[in-house]
Amino acid sequence: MAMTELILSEITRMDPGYCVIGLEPSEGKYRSIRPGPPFGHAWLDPFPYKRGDKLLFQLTPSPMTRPHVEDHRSTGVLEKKGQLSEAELLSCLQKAESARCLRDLFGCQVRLKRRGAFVVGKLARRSICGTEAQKVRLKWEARELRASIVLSSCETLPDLPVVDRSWLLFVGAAFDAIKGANQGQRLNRYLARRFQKGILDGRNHFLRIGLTRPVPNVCWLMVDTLFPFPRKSWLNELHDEQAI
Amino acid sequence: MSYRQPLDQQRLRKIIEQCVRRELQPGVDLPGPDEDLVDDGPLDSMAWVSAVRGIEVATGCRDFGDRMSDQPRCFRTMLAVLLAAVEQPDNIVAPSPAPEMKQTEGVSCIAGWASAVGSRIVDASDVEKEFGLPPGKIKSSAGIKTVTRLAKDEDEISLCLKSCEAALAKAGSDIGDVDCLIATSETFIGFPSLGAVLHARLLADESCKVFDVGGACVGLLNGLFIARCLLESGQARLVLVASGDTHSRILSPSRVKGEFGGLFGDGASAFILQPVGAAGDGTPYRLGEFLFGCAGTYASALRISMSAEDRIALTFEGEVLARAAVEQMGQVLEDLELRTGQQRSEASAFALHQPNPRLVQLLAKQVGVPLEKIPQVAVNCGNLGSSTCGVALSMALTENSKQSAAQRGPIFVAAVGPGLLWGGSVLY
Repeated sequence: MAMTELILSEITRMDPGYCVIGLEPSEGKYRSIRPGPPFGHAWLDPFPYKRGDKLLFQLTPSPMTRPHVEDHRSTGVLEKKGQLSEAELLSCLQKAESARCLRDLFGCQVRLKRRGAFVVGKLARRSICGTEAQKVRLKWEARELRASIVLSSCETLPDLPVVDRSWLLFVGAAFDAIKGANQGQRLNRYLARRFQKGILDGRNHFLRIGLTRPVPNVCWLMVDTLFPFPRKSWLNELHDEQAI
Repeated sequence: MSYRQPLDQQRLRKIIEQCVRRELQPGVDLPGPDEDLVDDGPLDSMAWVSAVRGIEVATGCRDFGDRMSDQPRCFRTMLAVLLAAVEQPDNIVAPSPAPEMKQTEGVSCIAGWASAVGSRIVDASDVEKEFGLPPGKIKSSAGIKTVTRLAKDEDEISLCLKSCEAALAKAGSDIGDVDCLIATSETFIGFPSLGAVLHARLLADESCKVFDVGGACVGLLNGLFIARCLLESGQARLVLVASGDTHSRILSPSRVKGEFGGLFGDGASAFILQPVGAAGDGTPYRLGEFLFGCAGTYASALRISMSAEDRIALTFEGEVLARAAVEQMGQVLEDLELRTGQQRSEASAFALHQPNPRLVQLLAKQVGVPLEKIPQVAVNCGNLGSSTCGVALSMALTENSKQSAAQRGPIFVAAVGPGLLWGGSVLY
């Protein structure tokens, strides 16, 4: 069976573990492949790999279930072949599936609700797509990290859950650092003020937006990857914020 | 606690004397306390009406003229009538406190500000060629050197967004803190409104109120006034006021004549307003008194509407409008002085609407203010509509807000618009 080398591009929360996506070179670009674990549907802890890792898999296509056309079965990670930097990974992702406007994200209409957005699963052509955002705003709400996004087409996506493992770990570490009462409020103040100004504001951001599994026909949009990746050093700013 | 300063006898006497004095012929002394100002005295009926209106504006006693209708028209009676009116607080709207008043609970301030103009700088001579005007028409006659226009990748929204984000940054605030967004534009056509689009693009909270305000060139003053009212009534805690005017997309040579269209440029401004107590470090400029009105006499001097075949139907009586604009803005400044007790000689800056630089020079000369205290917008950008005042105010705040309140003077703001709408304010 042929081996496939994938560049790990997404590690997202999917109970009881993670869902991972990798990029396979294809005709000068890249296409997304979602390798499933050998058993079950989610990769479990410990999952020692990180984004940018070049991993070798033995893959077989899964039965087609729209819109998750990227699904493949695997026998597990066979070998780590190398590693890309964050910038290199971003460059690869920009050559994978991408769209400027809502309609092109999944090849069908994206329906907006006051909170969140969804597509009708059987109408979508794919379940993962990258896009450039003019503006991103992060908020901790109802025990979830959520992102509101203005795409480069000036359309808005409100309150998408962020399932990017790195960002969720960052928020967990932030909560560990915030002592005392009103942690949620204080985290939001940090996300809104110093964090937003210094890190998210003033530049376009690349994101990868994914779809949940159909429930039963509806797939909700989520933020699978948000650039830049969070840094531990940013937590120092959180301490400074509190000191002020 | 009310922040409004009571009008005492001394202040009322001063207001009466100032209003009458400005109606007197040069060299004529003020009459005695019991001398009828009209029958025996130095005023004719029109001057009396002007004096009465001035007193009404300065004191807030809107029915002063009615109260005086059967009374002797002398200083003693006028003062007695005003004192009686002051004792009926529902009938009078006293002016805002003077800056020496330390406790100003409920007063609002400008915590952040910014402006943006179109990236393309077009020389006035090129504008003249574009509109088929004789050389010098815009440059020499109007005094405009260049106009700022949108680049290809810019529009009202992008200029407004740039201003809003910079103003928020300056205030140290986040869009999530804004609970009211007020937008004005004389060029934005369509729905969703400018305010709604900005709300979406800034990712404001769903609960953030949005108001779109008209008034053309007076639009920004309208927005600031509404913001102040909302803050002081407790209906809002942080208000973002934005203006955005992009004339280049509308006033093209195929649609309007050059003497009008060639005067305009593209620009935007934004201001963050909040209660004084909520402001952080520094001594932000506070919003003082506002005055507004409309002189319907000049309504026909400027009329703009969309006609068939996507053309603009324009009536533009340039000379009439110019005279009216200069006269009315001068009147606004005088009324603000009377109303607030602040003198223009003490002002740090005058953020004025600028139909064109020549009119600004004329106004400066007529009202006796140095030109260097008027941030020059029209010279390099053209007439930016409601954003002219905004850009000028932004420049004035940048120049003066670094000084302490004791070192700097007030900023007078005044604008006129089609109608003839007028408005003004003083910032302390």
